[in-house]
Amino acid sequence: MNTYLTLLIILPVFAAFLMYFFRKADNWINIAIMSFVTLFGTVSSLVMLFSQGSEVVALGGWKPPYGIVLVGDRLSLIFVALIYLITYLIAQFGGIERTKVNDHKSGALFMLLTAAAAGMILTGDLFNFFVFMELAAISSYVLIAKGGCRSSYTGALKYIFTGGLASMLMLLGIGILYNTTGTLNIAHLMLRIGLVGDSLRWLALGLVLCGILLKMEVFPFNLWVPESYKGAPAGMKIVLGSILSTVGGYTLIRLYPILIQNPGLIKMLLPLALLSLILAELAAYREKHINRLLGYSSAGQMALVMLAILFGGRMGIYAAIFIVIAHALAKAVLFFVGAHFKKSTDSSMWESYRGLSKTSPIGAVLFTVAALSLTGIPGMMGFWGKLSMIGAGLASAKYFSIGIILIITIVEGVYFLRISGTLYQSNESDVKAKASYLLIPAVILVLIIVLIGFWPGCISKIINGGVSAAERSSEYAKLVLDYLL
Amino acid sequence: MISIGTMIILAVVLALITRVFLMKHKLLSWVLFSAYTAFSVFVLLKLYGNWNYFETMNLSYLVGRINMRPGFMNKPLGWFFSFFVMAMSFLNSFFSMGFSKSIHSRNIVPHWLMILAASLTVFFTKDWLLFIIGWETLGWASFFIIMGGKQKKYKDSMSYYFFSLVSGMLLIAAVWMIGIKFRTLNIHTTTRSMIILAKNTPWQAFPILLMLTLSFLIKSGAYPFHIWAPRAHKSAPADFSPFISGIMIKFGIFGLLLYVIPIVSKGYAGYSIFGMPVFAWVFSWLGIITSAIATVLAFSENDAKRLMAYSSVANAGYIITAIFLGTALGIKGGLLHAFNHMIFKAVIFMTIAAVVYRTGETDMNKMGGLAYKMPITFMTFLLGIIAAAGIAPMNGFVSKWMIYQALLGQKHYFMTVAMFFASTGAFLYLYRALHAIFLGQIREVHEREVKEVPFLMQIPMWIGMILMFGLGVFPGYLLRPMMPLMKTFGSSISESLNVVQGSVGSLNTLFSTVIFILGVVIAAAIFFLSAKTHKTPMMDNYTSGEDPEEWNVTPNKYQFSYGFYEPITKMFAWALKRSVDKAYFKASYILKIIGREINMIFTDHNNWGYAALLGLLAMIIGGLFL
Amino acid sequence: MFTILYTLSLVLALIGIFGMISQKNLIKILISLNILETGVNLFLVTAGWSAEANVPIITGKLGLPSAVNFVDPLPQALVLTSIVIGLGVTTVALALILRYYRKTGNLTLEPSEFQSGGER
Repeated sequence: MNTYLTLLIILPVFAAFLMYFFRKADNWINIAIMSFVTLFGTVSSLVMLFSQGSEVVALGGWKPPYGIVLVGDRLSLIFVALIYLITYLIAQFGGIERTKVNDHKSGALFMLLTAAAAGMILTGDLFNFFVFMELAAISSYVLIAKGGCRSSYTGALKYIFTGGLASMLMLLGIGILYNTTGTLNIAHLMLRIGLVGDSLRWLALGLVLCGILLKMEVFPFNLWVPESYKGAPAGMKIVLGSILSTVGGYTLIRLYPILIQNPGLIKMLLPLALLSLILAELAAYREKHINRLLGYSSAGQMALVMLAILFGGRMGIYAAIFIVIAHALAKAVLFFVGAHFKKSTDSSMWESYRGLSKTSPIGAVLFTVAALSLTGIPGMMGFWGKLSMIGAGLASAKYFSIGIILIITIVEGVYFLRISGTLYQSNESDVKAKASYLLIPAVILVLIIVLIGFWPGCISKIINGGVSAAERSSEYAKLVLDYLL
Repeated sequence: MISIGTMIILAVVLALITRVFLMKHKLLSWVLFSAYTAFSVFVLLKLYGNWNYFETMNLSYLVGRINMRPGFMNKPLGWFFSFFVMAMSFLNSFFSMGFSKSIHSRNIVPHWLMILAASLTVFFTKDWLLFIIGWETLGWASFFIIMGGKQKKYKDSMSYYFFSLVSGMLLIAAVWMIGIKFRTLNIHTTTRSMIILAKNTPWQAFPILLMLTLSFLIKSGAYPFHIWAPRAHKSAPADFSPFISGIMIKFGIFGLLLYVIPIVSKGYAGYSIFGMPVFAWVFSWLGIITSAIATVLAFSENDAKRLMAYSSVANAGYIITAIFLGTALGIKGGLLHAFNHMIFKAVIFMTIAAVVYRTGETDMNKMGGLAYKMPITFMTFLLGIIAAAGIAPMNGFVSKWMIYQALLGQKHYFMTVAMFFASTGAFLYLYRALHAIFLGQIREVHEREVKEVPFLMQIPMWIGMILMFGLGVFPGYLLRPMMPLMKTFGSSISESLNVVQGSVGSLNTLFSTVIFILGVVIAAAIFFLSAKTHKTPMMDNYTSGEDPEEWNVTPNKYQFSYGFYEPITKMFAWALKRSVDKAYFKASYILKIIGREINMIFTDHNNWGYAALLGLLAMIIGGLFL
Repeated sequence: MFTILYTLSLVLALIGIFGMISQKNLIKILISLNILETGVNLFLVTAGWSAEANVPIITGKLGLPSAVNFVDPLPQALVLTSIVIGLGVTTVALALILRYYRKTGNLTLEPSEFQSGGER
């Protein structure tokens, strides 16, 4: 089984280079390669997840604290499976036309991005994480710019500068961490972080978090969000919304044992997350451009995830994992359906989608279900996340934050149902539904959302496993540094 | 026996079927709807008396340390509410079958079935989790029904959805506080624990009770939250308005009776005033204020549906007042009034829907004289407003009498007077509605086109008339089955068919009906036997001596009830000026402005965002020197 | 000595951050990013440096006394990687700036409220 874990990273990279040789061939070869690789990733990570095998691969045979390790435990495998599922859907269904991951250049970048995202999740080494993060970032800069319009360039440039700044800060933090603890292995760091003095720890972790906050689109690092979401090609929007932010969320969950050893840091991050939540959702409340709106909503949801992690405890982590997954699934649906609407009406302003339910009834239903799931309405997956989240907040007596979250949820519900309502208003127009194949992946994802919404028990065991893996630093450390302990 | 869970799943499945396959066959889906409601009435009737019934589902789902093991339980309170929901929906379905016009949206049946599923969930659930699920499902399902695919109705439906979300959020927060405190979400066991908590440490129980109460009051349209009611009623499809008014408003009442009232009346040991806890006293007064304000607002209303919506809010106010008194009589009066109101307000809205069906109007200034054209509808409406105004032989009288008795029994004289004011006002604006729609001069357009509604739509009206009169004469037919329900609120009086026990006396409804009929007979005798009568054309006395041509209107364009209560409206102009509606609009507007400013943070290049970044960095680096 | 090196490299990084936030010209922002990068890299190298230790190369020919007294080789490896990444980012950014310039004719980012066309 060990090889699978490595393959999850190697195979997409290999596919990326393989595509170069098919540059003159038809697109379907590229699509076939991408779908094969991502489907393989989905299936093998799911198999590993369900066979309960946690495993650690020490790359190059170097023992963990010295060399780089890949850790596939109950937490990281959930997320690998999730991102591979979404990349598969993009590659198979979205990649044909609109999403511009079809030609060999974009396809190669997309595969690199997949590899980098999987690497960020699987790696057990902080610097390696940084490298994968940069790999993902560079591919996504180019892919955003592939949109080809003005806001694509604006968004990509903003993303480059914010991303460059954040990643350099993160590197600085990594340097300080290495200097003070003498290790970059995350498991080792969990054990050793207590040795560092308070103020230095604050500085180092604060800087490291900058990079993660960028991926999670938390406030001062999310200034690129609206432009990038607006300008990116449709497939890239899904990557931004459901993969990169998911990875950010995962990393913060993974660093939770380190985080809770620093109450001061939590005190600083809590207002930041609240501010981010309020700003993002209020900006979305007024937004008329659907992709920018969805971008703001991603930022808001990720702020929710961050809050859930900061609330802490088993319930908080549980809520965080649930919200991350629910958000990734729902956001992918929204972007797929959004791309379909855009194709049909040739406009991105949601007000021009009036009466689309007649043209594309399934699309309207899918959009509504995903939107309700993001709001946290029962019957959809998001409800359980929000429910546990509020429970976690109240259990840790963070009443003020919970108040804000409840108010913001209302705002969120209103602006999402406003769009759904617009879809269902009657309108005399003869719009024809185009690119309906984009609805196939959305249907699959919505079925998952509704299934989990009605029967959360079906994944609750897996998620609880993830919670245990995330919450107990001893478990993770034992897994990675078995021979040391 | 079919379990409640099966009934709920059946409703959801039927909703899916009608939504997916039967979009083009409206009549067929209404028939399915009707069959489902009839079936559930049957199932519920078999369930009556089986108060130990329960079922449990195992979701094997754990949130935190609380195992989610939802289930259903048959309690008298839930049984009564769900029985009325199903029975009213069944009656309504006949009406809707006839109503099924081309403009009638196809989305109604599936969403209505979802609402039925949600209401069964809410009424029978054993734990809070399913309660929340049902509660929030009501919101979006109603949103789509009320909007009905029309752009101009979007805002009204959104106001309903907004308040529904607020209510849901408050509920979730309150439920979690209960869950964290007692490590279980079971409604019935936590009631007992809450009573003990409220007795020993009222300040700990206070926030939970407050949030729950607010959540429920929002759903029943109490004062600062009443603004959704007229909007939702106005915009809803004409045959859904009876349901909103009859049932949806009662969800809040149900919630209060389920959880808040038992705790407040039995255990709450906070400060007390006039012999009752301050908590209950404040909300009793809120009920009175609600009904007074709704009455004042109804005076100046020209739209029939909005007027009746305000009337519903006022009635919800009476019920809230009565149940917060906490005495057995108050709760009995409140419950009886809730059920009576379900009947008569649903019937009134059906008649309005019938008028809409024939004329397409809800603006009362554009109607008049329809009594000659639609006699059955007129009769139903007349009996309905008699019941709503609480006049003798109809059912509304009994329950209002009981509420007054409960207020007087606790010596709340101020409340009694205030409520009396609201009740009198109710008679005034209801009569105005009767006059404007059915009496007076008929319009030329209506003269030619309007006729009585088809028989299918008359069925619920006839049944409604019989119910209103029958329960007015023999309230025991409703009070006797309610005895197990009243037992849970600590009253064990055995009811007789026509004698209602109050606090300072008893009321023989049969006797008062006989008196009433005697009065009618005597008046008729005087009318027919005394001085000779002769018919005059309407125009002779219609304008009370005024000459309409002086005002540049022809007699048949003149609407007598225009500006009917202008003096009263003027009297309350100061109150109407500062309306809550405006405050809500202002808040929404401010939110949009803030949103725009925030958008600028994200779109400008050199801006506050970077300053914030710098600030964050300063914080991180500053930590080094602390 | 260490303090001076640390401080200088951090000051360099701060200059870079200041430049990134205060400058409007895209090229200048990129240069600031590079300054920040250099500062961070210097910091990392400094972290592994020691005045008394030898270069971390194990060869018999140099005749070094033992393999114990080496400077830490890891930061140097990290810095190498980071320099390469920095190069990549700079290249991509320059290419994008060029594209942006060709598309819009200026080198500053404008508020997008006023952007027209290119609806996506």
